[in-house]
Amino acid sequence: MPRYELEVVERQEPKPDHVELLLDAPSLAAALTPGQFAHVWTPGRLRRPISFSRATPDGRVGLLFRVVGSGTRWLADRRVGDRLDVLAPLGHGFPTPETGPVLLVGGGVGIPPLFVAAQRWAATHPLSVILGARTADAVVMVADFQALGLEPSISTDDGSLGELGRVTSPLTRWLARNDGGQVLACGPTPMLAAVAELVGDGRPCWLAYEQRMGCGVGACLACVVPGVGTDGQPEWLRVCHDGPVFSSRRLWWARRPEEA
Amino acid sequence: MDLATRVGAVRLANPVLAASGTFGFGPEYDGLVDVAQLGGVAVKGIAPVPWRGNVPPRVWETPSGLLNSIGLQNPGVERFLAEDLPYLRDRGATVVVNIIGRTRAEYAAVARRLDGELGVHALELNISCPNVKEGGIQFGHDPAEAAAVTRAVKGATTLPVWVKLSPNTHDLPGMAQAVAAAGADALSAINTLVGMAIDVEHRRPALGGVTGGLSGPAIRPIAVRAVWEVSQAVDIPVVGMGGIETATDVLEFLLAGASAVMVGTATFSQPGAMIRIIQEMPTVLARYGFDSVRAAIGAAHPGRLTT
Repeated sequence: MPRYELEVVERQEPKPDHVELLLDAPSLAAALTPGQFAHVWTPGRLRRPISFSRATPDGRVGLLFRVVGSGTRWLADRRVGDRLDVLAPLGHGFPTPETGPVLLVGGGVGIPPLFVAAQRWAATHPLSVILGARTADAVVMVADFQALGLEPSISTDDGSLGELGRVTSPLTRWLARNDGGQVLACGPTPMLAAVAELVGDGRPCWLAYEQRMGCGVGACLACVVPGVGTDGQPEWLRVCHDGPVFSSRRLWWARRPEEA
Repeated sequence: MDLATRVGAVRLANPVLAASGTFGFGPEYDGLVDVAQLGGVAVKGIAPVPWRGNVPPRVWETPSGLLNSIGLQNPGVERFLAEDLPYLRDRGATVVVNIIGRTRAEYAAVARRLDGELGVHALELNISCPNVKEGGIQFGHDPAEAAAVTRAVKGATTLPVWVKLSPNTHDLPGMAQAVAAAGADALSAINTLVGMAIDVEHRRPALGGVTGGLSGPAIRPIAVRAVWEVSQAVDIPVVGMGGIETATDVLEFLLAGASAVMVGTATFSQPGAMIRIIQEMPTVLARYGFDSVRAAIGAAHPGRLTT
C-alpha cells in the first residue's frame, strides 16, 4: 500500500464534534473500495484508522470522524492547505453486491463508509439505507444520501431524529419486505451483532468492524476480532488486514472473545 | 561511510534491525520497506505450535510510548517455515528468529527445528515477554532458569543464539553474566516494561490482558542504561533497543555499547523510519567524528574518551 502526503482542500463540521476533511487524491478516489480505510499520522506513537467517507469524480476523498481523543482532536484542527500523511487504501472493503436489493445499515461514525458504497452502487443496485445513532447530533451524511436520490430510514436512541429506538426495527421491516437481497453494515460492535443475528444465514451479510489498531497493515496483531477458521475452530482475524469488512459467517458471534 | 557491523558471527550491512513483533514477517510492509536494505529482521516470536495470544484490545497509546498485550500470538514453527520465511529468504534479508516456549523443552524444540534452515541467520531467545503467564518472562526473572534454557537451546542448534533480556529484573548484569556463561552468543536488550493504563471512559483496564508491555521513547533512557550496564558486565555483543526513532538515537545506543540496534514502535507511526535512519547514519556518524559504525561501539565507556 502506498503512503501519501495529501492536501486538505476542504473542511466541514457536519455535526457537533464531527469533522470531515476532503483530501486531493485522484488516484485514491479512483481506486477506493467502499469500506477501505486510511491510517492517518497524528502526533504520538500510533496512527488513526479512519474509513473513507466519499470519493468524488473530481478526485477528492473524504475522511469523516468524531473527535474522541488526542489524535482526532489534532486531526480536527487541520485546516485547508495542511497536508496529511496517509497510508491508504488499507484493508478489504465491501465486495460488489450480487444483483438484487441491497440494504445499507450505518450506525454513528459507521455511516461514512456506507455512503461510499451508495456512491458506487446507487446506479446499479436497488439500494435502501438505514441510519442510526444515539442522538440526532451523531446522524451524519443524511443530505448526501438524499442527493443520490436515497431516503434513509433514521432511528435514534433518544428519538431526537427519526424513529425512537435502534436500527433493528427498520431492519426487521426491510427483511420482512424483501425475500432475498443482501445487507452491508458498519457501526458499533453490538449493532453489528444484532444485524447479523436478524439477517441470519439466509442472505449475504457484510460487516465493517472497528478495533483499536496498531500498525494498520497486518504486522502487529493488535486489532484482532474473534473469527471462525476454515476448520470451524475459532481464530483471530485482523481487522486491518483480513477486514475491516467480514462476511458475518466468518465472525464468532455466539461466544465472548475470551472464550474464542 | 562504513555502516557494517557484526553481532558475533553474524555480519550485518548496517546496524538497524526490525524488532520482533513490530514487523510481522516482512510482506506486511511490502512496498513501504525493502527488507534487503535493513540490517536484519527479527520476526515475530515463534513457538513449536500456534499460540492464540491475548484478548483485545491489545494496544494503547501512552505519553511518548505504547502499551501492548499481544500475548505472543504466532503461527507455530511449521507454518512459519512454509509460509512466512520464504518472503524474507527470497529477498536476501538477514533473519533473526525470535523463539518462545512454555518449557525448556519447547524452546529447544523450536531451536532444533530451525537449525540448518536456509535463510535463518540467528535465534533470539525470548525470555522476556511480559504478556504471557507461561513461557517468556518466567525464564527471564531467575538467572539460573535463564541459564538453563540458554544451555538447552544452545545444545539444540548450531545457529548463533541471542538472549533477549527483560528490564523487569533487579540484577540485569547478573542476568547477563548468567546467560553468557551458559553459552549465549549475544544479548539483546531490552524487551518492554510492564505497565498498565485504565480506559477512564469505560471504567476498565485499557488492555484486554489488563497489563501490557511499554515501548517507545518513554523507555529509551532505561534501555540505554541497560545496554551500558550489560555491555560492561559481559564480553559478548549487545543488540540495543528501546524507543529508537532517529540516527542520533542509534548512535546513543552504539556509544553505550551496542553493536547493533533494533527499531520497533517507530515503524507503526512511520513505516519508513528504519530506512530513513539507515540513510541518515553516515551524516550523523560523520557529524560526531566517526568514520564507521564499528568505531562508535562502546565509545562512551570510561577509558574510551578520545576527544
